[in-house]
Amino acid sequence: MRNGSPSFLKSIILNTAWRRAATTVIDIAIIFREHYHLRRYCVMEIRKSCVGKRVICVIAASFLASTFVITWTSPLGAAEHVKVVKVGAVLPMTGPLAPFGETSKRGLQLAAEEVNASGGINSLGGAVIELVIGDTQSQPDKAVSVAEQLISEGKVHLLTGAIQSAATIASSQVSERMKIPYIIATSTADQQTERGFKFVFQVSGKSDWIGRDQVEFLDYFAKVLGKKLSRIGLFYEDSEYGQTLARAQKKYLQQKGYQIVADVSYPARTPEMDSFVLKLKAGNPDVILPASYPGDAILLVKTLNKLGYKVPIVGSGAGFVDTSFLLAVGPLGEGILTIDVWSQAVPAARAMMEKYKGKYGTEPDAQAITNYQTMLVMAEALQQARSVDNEAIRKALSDIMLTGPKVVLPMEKIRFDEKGQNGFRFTISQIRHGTLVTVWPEKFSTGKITFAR
Amino acid sequence: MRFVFILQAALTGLMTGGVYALIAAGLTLIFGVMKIINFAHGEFLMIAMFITFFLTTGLGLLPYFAILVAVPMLFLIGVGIFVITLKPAMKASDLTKVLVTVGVSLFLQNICLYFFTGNFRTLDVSYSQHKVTLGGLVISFPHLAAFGSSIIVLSSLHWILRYTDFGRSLRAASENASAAFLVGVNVDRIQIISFGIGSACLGIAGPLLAPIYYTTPTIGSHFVMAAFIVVVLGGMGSLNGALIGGFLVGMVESLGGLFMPGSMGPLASVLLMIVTLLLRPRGLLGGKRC
Repeated sequence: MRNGSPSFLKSIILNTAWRRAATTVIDIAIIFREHYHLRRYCVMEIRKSCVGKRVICVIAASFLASTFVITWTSPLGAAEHVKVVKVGAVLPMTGPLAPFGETSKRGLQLAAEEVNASGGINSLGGAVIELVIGDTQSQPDKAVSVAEQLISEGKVHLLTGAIQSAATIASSQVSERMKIPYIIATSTADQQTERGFKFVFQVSGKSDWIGRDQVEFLDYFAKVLGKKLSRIGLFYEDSEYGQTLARAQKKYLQQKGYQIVADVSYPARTPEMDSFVLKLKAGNPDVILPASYPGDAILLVKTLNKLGYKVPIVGSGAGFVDTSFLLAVGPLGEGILTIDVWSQAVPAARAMMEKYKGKYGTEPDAQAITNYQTMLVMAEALQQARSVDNEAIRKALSDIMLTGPKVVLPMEKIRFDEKGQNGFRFTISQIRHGTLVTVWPEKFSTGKITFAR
Repeated sequence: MRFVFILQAALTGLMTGGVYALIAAGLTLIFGVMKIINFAHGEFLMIAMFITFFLTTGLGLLPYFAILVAVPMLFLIGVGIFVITLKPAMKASDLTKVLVTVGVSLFLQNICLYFFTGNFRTLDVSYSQHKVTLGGLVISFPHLAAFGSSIIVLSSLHWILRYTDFGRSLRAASENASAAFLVGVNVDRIQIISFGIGSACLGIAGPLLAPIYYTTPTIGSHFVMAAFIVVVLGGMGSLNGALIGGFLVGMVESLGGLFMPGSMGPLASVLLMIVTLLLRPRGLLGGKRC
């Protein structure tokens, strides 16, 4: 402290007696100043509170007015002879999920343009489909107002969305209340079709079925490997998504008599994963079934590699099929198996891929292809309904049966059960040279499982 | 549980702790001088990681060279943001200052989301997979580099604060700004520079972290929570506290992940913080001079 002080003034601060004296002087000055400021502050506060009340009144009034507008303009009794059928899409076009919103929009757009180019909806006198996008900004709590706006101002006849399960659950509730058919394209939360709703249909699978198909694949995988896979490691992020999936996995694993030797959950935003992976390693599983978002999936693969721990991975989709995951892990990801939703073995999917590449210059992802399928379902429903009356469209959707070239997803038909759920089957893909190759079920496979990690 | 696993978890925790300490150092420095809790700290780290990412992929250099660019850039960004947003609010209440930093944090995060999207980017450099093996224990090279560098940076920061003219003025301004002003310390300048240095610390942390983790606009929040715990645990404003707190939090978090059920590992570090605050309300080294 004392050595080499440059000036007398600065060394003075460290002298306690001086410091006390200085602070006392300052304190007195502060007290004087604060007394003055306090009086001014009180006057200001009183003024502010008056202004505040006025602002609140204006906000309350406009809020009331907007609710009136929304409830009094519900789009019942639309005209029978329509030239344009409006389809609303509740999508995250900005915010962290914007890339998914963009590919979803492209999928919908591509299918709508195809329908329009081939003469529109015949039974409606060649009416064309117009896509109206509502942006949730990647925030589930915005989804409600976006859906309300699409219905009341956009006058849409059908709705789709919303990528995030929370946003889908919220926005489809609006749809049910206002009696506008809602077709869920990609989100998979189980409760979406368990609410007894009449106007909500789901093209995508349920997360329960991810577990079902993953466990079913294990039987096949054991046969291919030629060894027993009985010890299973579960590894899942601890939010709604991972927890729900782990419950389904446990249910089906126990049904089939598998032994769960490691049950590890982790926070998705953990900066370090070693301890969780070590916990997994301690159970010594034959295969692990991780449920992760892209960021934590990247960290998992890197950590496994760092610790020199080799174990076959059968991922649960989500992070493992994400393009940025595939890019980020590069050669480390080679051979990882994962749940997937589409296959190039389906001719209609190949055709769609070509058209998509021609129009946008990139490969379609799962969002694009499932949304493309959703738009085809909508077009078919409108064709069958012969009307844009919401009840007629709902009826057509519940009776719909799509087969042949209209089915792009790897399944024979698209059909909704009494809950509005499509009988979806997931596929398994393997990462090979940085791309996903479908390996199971064999009917839709574009390659065989090459090697086990 | 095999003993080697426990050692491995502790070792990884120690390495991560070094990084936490480096991030916390900037936070604690800014708090010490201005009593500002900087919620935008994580976003500065994110910017440093993006600078590293684009320099490395653009020029094909090693990420560590990005330190040469990231440190001055982060210093300037820190100073710029301080002068534009925080300086006018210096006379306002502490809550106002905190809200200003929250606003800056949201702004930076969303502007990066707009330009760089939410995609995850990783640096594929040859040595990011290199590792050192010590009888069954594994340390990856980037972790070791990050750990070593944070020790070096923290000790030099400590030296600067302790033995240079600038350091003394800074400590004086931190202890009693009004008195320091009275005896001729340019408190305004000290505040600006210390905010710059606090941000520049992240200019070092960013390039060290980029090869280990992934770069995305929301990455800052992954680290800054731990850094807050470190700062509170070690004692607000204490640099040595940040170092000790960093190691403690890193180890406890890692061992907690191994031993505690489910994903309750991170709870361990919060528990440690609560217990410490009960016994020593000003943190481990709080109340002492930095």
